[in-house]
Amino acid sequence: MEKSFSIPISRRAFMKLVGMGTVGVLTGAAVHSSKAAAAPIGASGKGLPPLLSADVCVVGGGAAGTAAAVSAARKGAKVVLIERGISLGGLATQGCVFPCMPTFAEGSDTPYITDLNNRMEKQGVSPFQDVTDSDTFYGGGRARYVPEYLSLVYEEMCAEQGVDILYNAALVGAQTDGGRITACIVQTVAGLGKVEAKVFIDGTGDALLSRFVGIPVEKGSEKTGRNQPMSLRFEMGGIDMAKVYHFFRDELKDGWKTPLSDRLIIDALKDGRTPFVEFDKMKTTAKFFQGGVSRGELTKDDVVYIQAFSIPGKPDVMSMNCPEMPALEFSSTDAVSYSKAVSFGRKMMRRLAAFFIKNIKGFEHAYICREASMVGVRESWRIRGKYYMEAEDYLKAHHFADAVCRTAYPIDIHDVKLDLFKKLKKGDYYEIPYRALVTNEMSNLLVVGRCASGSFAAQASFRIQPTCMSMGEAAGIAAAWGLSQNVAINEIKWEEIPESMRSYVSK
Amino acid sequence: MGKSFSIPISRRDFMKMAGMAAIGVLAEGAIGGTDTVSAAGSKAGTINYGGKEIPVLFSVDVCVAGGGPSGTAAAIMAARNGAKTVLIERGVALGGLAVLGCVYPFMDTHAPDSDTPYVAEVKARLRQHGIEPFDGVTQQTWHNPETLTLIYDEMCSEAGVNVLFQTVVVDTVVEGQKLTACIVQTIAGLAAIQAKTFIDSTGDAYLSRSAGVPYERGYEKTGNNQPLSFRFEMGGIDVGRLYQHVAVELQEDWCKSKPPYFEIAEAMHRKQRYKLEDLMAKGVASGEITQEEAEYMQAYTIIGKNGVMSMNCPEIPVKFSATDPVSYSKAVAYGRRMMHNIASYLIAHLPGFEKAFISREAAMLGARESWRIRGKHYLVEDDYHSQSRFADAVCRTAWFIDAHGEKVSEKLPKGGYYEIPYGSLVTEEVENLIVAGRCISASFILQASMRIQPTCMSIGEAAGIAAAWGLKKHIAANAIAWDKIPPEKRSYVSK
Repeated sequence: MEKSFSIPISRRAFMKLVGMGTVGVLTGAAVHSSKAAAAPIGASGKGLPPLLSADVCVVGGGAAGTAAAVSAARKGAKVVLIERGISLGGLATQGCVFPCMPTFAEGSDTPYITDLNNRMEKQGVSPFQDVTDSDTFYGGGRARYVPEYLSLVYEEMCAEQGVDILYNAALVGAQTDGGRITACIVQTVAGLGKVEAKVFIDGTGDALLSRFVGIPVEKGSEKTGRNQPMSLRFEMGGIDMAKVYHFFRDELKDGWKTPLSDRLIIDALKDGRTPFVEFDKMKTTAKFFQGGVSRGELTKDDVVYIQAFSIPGKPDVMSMNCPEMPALEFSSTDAVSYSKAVSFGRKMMRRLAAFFIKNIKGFEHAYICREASMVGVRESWRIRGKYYMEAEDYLKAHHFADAVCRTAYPIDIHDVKLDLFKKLKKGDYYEIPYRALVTNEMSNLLVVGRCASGSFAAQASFRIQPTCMSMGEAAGIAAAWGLSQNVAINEIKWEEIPESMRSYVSK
Repeated sequence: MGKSFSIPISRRDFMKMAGMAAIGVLAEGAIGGTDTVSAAGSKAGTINYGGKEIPVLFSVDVCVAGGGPSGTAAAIMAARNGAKTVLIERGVALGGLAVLGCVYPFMDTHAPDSDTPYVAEVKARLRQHGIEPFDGVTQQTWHNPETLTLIYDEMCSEAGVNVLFQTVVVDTVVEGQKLTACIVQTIAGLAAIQAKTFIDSTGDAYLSRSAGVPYERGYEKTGNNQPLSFRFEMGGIDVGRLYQHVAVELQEDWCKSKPPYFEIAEAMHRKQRYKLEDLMAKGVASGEITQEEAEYMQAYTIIGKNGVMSMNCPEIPVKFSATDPVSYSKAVAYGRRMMHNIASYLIAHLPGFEKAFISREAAMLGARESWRIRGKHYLVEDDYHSQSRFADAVCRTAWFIDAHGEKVSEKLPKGGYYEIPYGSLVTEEVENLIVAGRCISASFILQASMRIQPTCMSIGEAAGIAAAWGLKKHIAANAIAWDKIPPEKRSYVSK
């Protein structure tokens, strides 16, 4: 102690320690913490007043966490939402993951998703513009959310419900008392701070909160030990969309478009709207992209996966669903490997962009206009909760009394295509039970999104954004319900919550 | 180790907690990774932190915290001078505000010959990538954020810097006057990085504050930090039409260069009157934008991104604080609303913006000033006005005192400049720590001049050289006399 107080300025540190803040900061009508400022760095825990306290603390502001926070608050809980970056939406906004994949299950859109879609529509960026049905593209979840509006709409939803968002805050620890989480510790601009709550929801994607409190976890494929490959997505601007469309349809004859989508594109171009244009590396176009490899413009890794989508509201911009960093070389669960993947991916991105500019008609004046600010992680850690989802649940289209949502998205493993996982036939779907979101170890923890309880194969299906949103929505409702009924979160019977209050009711 | 626990009492509680927490992180499930690019090669065992063993991810000569303009420069220069170096970055791109914060272009130092070799090299590499940073008139550096971050990756890779992305500094371990390790949160969990010398380029003096270095924040008179900005980019702009309207029709002569190097601006708090103030004032009168939104609007074309402009706004009111986590969070949502209002207003009323759209939001807020250390030498406002020179100077600048909302000084006479001494980068308290970038030892008012990116780059460059030099010569970083390093090894020599 003496050492720290022997330096003249540390009086300030002491004042902050006892919650007084520095002299300057307390003056004026500044918008500051209602309670104490965050701790001096290096200090946390019992000696400090909490930075924030709430009924429900949600960690991670991605697809699942934001849904959980908004839904818990709508049911009357006081909610804090901790986000590492400065926008909500996670992969959809920071990761450039666009558009949402379809669930291939009719009726999968839970009320939160419907509400979100309506709100985007009101912003003038309809998520459904030119979205068509086909035998290969159907079901719920097929929304196209413009990233720059999604972050705005999420914030409005939080603001309406009084959700306190703590931005730029990274989870670095948690405190437990018996089988309960009492607080989580976050790193903020000011230092470490403590957020106390009655219920915690882990929407970190990496099961980070769960791992901090000792929940058993798994990572990667049971067979290979490898995680799903990561992507480092980006957007390109300056694209002539009509030329791109005609290049792929007329010159490469990609055969991808249906007559209906063809007509919509022609109509959109006529009206001066952004048509929905997509191109992919597929059977018909493989030769074109392979040409880049034989000419030395691309590497074999670069062409494993190539896909691009136009974005409504960003007329000359396409969202690139690539590069995909080789799964054999990089791991989403190893800090050093992950870091190397970033630089490796950035080089892949530059080669792909240069190839597009040189070879795709319509890309002559294109440029990279935005890099993702987070890596596209499909899978990292998954918890082992009360129920463990497996490939069987998908293959046999299992239904559960305590189901929180449905999906039929295929078991989509990018690393190795495993043929044994057949796609469900149209009309079939499986459900995700509430028990896959709770654990035996912690009575007040819910885990949502891609890190919910499931095997590598099961997760390869339930990891998509609309399903993550529905899980989050249910978790928020359950958290508020448990608090109002004094039921431990991991003891809640979802099916016993009145139907009118549930976001999803199994038929 | 005992001593490191003796600073604030509650650190022990965190350590206890962190130790317990580490169980969850270390006890990975039954499925072991078979990562071919793993930390295994660089692992240096474990250290005891809070009663538990946490992995030492790296044990190196120099650890740089923060991959912005100064930190990236420091890491590259330390590595080039022979130090095994780790660079810790919170995001997934190097460049800090220039890349993640959309802060573009680099402002002009207004000082003659201020480019140190590293700054000149970054500009040369931009040219090699087809981005000409010189507009032919001013000394602003017009770059391209996506190219800049690629260049930084390349420079780090060539120099052998280990970059650790997506990693947050949590805590430090201090033994006596030495920082022995910093504790970081990686995707995998808590880990330690041991180093002989540490460089704090966090912008927020995070490492320094953690290690017990005294610090200040905000303006002494008001307690306010400089305002935050939440920058963004807009695409779909007809720059030719915009130029025609602003430069020809309105006869605004603010921008000295022509497209593709074109800029529009208005700042109601400045003495200078800008032609676009009328447009923004009309928006306030009609209720389409607020006075806060109209106060400051500036946009620059981005080289290599045709039709895209970097918006140097919104400027978030000073009632929001860059040093309070809750206030900072509220500033984000407040700023995003301002951003959309400004964008909508320009789309509706500014010729050339008819088909424009928000193409990108910054991934970090633009903090001009947050915390500043009190180091061995403390720079003050008078150093600017009297153009102070120092034998141990690491760079020069003459960017004016640009304290938004508090004080805007006159420019120094042409050819004038002041210097930044090495003494303002080091501290009395921690012998193996160098601080680089906007959080060096300077008063609020002086920092409002030295905070710009080229100056931060030059400071980082010197920090990296000094760190490697000190290790080679067995001199503590805070005891190095920069002026005793042979001139040919220095990035800057005071005349």
